[in-house]
Amino acid sequence: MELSAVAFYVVAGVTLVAALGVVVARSVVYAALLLILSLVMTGLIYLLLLADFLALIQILVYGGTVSILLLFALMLTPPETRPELNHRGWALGAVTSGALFALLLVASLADKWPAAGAARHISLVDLGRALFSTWAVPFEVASVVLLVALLGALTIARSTSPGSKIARRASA
Amino acid sequence: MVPIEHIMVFTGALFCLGVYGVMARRNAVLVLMAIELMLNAVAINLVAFGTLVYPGQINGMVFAIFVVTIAAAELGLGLAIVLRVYRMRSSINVDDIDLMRW
Amino acid sequence: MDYAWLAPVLPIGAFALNVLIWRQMGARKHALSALTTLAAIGGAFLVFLAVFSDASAHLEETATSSGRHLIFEGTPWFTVGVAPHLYVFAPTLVVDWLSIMMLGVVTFLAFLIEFYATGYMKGDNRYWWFFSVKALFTAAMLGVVLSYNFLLMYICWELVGLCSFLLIGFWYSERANAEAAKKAFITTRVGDVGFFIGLALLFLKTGTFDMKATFAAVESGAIDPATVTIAGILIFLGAMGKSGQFPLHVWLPDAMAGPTPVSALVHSATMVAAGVYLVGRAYPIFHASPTTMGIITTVGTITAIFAATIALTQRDIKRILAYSTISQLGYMIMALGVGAYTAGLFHLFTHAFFKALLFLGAGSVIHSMEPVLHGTGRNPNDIFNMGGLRKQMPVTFWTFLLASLSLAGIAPLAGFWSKDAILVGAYEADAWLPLIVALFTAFLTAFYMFRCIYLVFFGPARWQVATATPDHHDNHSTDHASGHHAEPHESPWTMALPLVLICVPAIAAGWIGIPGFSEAFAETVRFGPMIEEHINLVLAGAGTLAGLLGIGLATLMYLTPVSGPRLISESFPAVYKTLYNKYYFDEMYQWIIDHVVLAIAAMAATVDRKILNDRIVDWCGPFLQGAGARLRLTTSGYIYHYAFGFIIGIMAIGVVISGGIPDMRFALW
Repeated sequence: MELSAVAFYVVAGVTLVAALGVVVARSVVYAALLLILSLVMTGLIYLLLLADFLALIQILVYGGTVSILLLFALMLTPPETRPELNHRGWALGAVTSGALFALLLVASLADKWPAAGAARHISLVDLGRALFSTWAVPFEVASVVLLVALLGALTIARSTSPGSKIARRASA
Repeated sequence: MVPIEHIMVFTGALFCLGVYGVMARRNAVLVLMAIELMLNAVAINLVAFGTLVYPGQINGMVFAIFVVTIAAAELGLGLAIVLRVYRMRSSINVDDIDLMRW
Repeated sequence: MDYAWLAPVLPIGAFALNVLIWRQMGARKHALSALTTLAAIGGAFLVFLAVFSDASAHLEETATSSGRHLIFEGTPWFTVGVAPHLYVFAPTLVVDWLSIMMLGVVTFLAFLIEFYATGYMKGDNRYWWFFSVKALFTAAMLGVVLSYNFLLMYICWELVGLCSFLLIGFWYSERANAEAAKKAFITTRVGDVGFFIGLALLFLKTGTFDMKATFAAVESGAIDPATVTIAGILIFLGAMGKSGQFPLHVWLPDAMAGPTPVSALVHSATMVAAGVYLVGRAYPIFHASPTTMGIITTVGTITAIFAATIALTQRDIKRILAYSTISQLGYMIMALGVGAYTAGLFHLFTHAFFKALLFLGAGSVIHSMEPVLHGTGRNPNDIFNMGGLRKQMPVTFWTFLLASLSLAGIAPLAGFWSKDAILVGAYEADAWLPLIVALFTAFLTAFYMFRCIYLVFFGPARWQVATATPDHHDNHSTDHASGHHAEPHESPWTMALPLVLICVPAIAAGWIGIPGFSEAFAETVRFGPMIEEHINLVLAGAGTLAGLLGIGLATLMYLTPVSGPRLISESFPAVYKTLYNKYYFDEMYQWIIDHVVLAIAAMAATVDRKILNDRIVDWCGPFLQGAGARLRLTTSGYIYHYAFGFIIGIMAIGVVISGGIPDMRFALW
């Protein structure tokens, strides 16, 4: 077995264990830290798949920004208001996700997929060229989506002035 | 590198963990975290197909970049909503957010 | 000649201009719309003149029978059907002598009658609307005349019906007029449904509405004879409805509720001619089946005598003319039925002129009687309220007399030649019964027309006696505002001039079809090879004699105020009452509607209310409410419920499109 394959299995195993931890951890902070681990491991998988630029983005965006965002959200919501972690829906969730996994397993293994060819590295130059030529319009649309999301997040999270409709409903 | 089926099983497992998380958790922030897991599973799958099955094709990576972009936007909005809900109802339990119920 | 399409387009443009733009112009709209309509119809008449002179140079190609007419394919409007059976509908126009003849009749008469109407309708507060509808009517009628595609013809045909409805009910504030309009619309619709089914049947067999292709299919025997017969009878139903043939004639006398220019144009010269024209246009379909021809002959013969007998007893001047029209249309249909194609259409041609003239004359009389009888509660249309008018209205009298003589078939006026041609046609087809009926009808026609003339223009002035009250006798100046004591007077020149002008064709229109002398009509409007016509002196003499006998009898009975008519009507009260009540046809139809149609309708209403409504419709609401009350429980407010449904749905879709169920994949892809 070549080295990259061994590395993949190890990294994938760690990712899965961390993800499992995210969904079952008793503590919210643990869950958040395990999620960061899982996301960084995903970045490693990108690296193994020769997508180095994507790995960089993954670690920057998820490992950095997203984790910090999540931790801030946790800090802004005091611990005493946090509900019990799991509720009675967990059994249904387990059954559903189990069924979905079985289906995906069947789909992945039953069909004959094209044999994996020799992975080829894609240079950052090519990626940049593709993004700004073939994918120029979706790229611009994505930037607009980000802008709208930014403004929307601002508007929604802004503190409500007393007497506004939303504030009245909240106090009611 | 490993066969594509193995990667698919791996991403499938990751996705299903995300599904479980969404369904089982009560804390809204944890629900958002589970959604991040699902998005990641999909992005890995895209990159794997792009690199291994169609070597040299760039589309898989481009898609993954878009997924990351959308995920960032989604998380930003989601957390904003959580904060707003918390301020209105002093709770981030998703079961309490049931104004649109019958 | 490829400008013939202008003829219908000009008046429809005038209609659009009137209702879209002039309508906004306040008080000026009346004058503007009258002028526009007159100009458009005048333009259409000029188009006719140009087409006529062009076609005269190409006699052989444009003869109705030659099949080499000038046909214009318009831009396709729409396509129906699936690939191998596509039908592209394009408005196709034809210019042959049949359509040229009708083009001339319609535009000439429409123009003069429009002109007459500018005087007749003066002061009406919907003057502009009258002219707008008349423009639309003229356009539709020209469309019927020129179309060489059954569907296009049907569209125009229905437009003609619509305009007729609008014009009959023009003074709809009186209930009787509105009822008459409704009756005309519904009665002709009975025939139109037949027409439409017939067209659908032909379309089913030939896959086209194009007349040329349809006729070719009929003549080559591509369609089985039974279908041709059925389709022919159904199409003839449409002609019966429009041309007021027995038993669908009941609407035509009532249609006289419209203004007189309407009666003159729509219900004597053009619209009712559409039925006869249809028979002439679609003649190959009828001619291919002896059964159809037999039915056409029978209907025409019955109508001719039946309507003439009713006309004997009517009191309303316009109704007399209406029954006369029905009778003459029956004449034409009968001629077409026995195979005398040229004769039937020739009579259509000449009849249009003298009948329009008669109606305009009647309108002139009514116009002058209205102020005289105003306020007395007596009907200005009733010929027993008139009398002695020849002194006051000389122009009307002389033109009316000429037209009546023409209708009675007195040589050398137009009616003589066409009536003689029909008699000869029936004789040569060995159709003895129609021949005898035709002769007898000619006698009756002359009789009732001169009864009318003597009562209106001769004898004592009954209107005077009627209006004279002891106090105001001979004092014509008093109470002038309400016009109680006005004298009848000749109509204004706008009405008198058309009378004189139409007189010319009413006298001379027959001269283009004198056997052995001038055979322009027979040469051009014919079906099959040209038939050498010759004068049959016996028949001509018999026809003239019948007319003279009728005139003589009328003179004896009505010229001098004797008690002859009263004596007859009192000695045969049953006959008189039957005729006066038009053979009780209206009552019969009313009975059928009351006892059959309404009974079925009541049954249908019961089924609708008790079963459909109470059981099914009323059940829907509670069912949906119950379902909603239960289904809304799924909106639980728990994310995991929603996620569960979402994931299950995704899985199902994944299974289906990934081919987990092979048949489903087939269905989706």
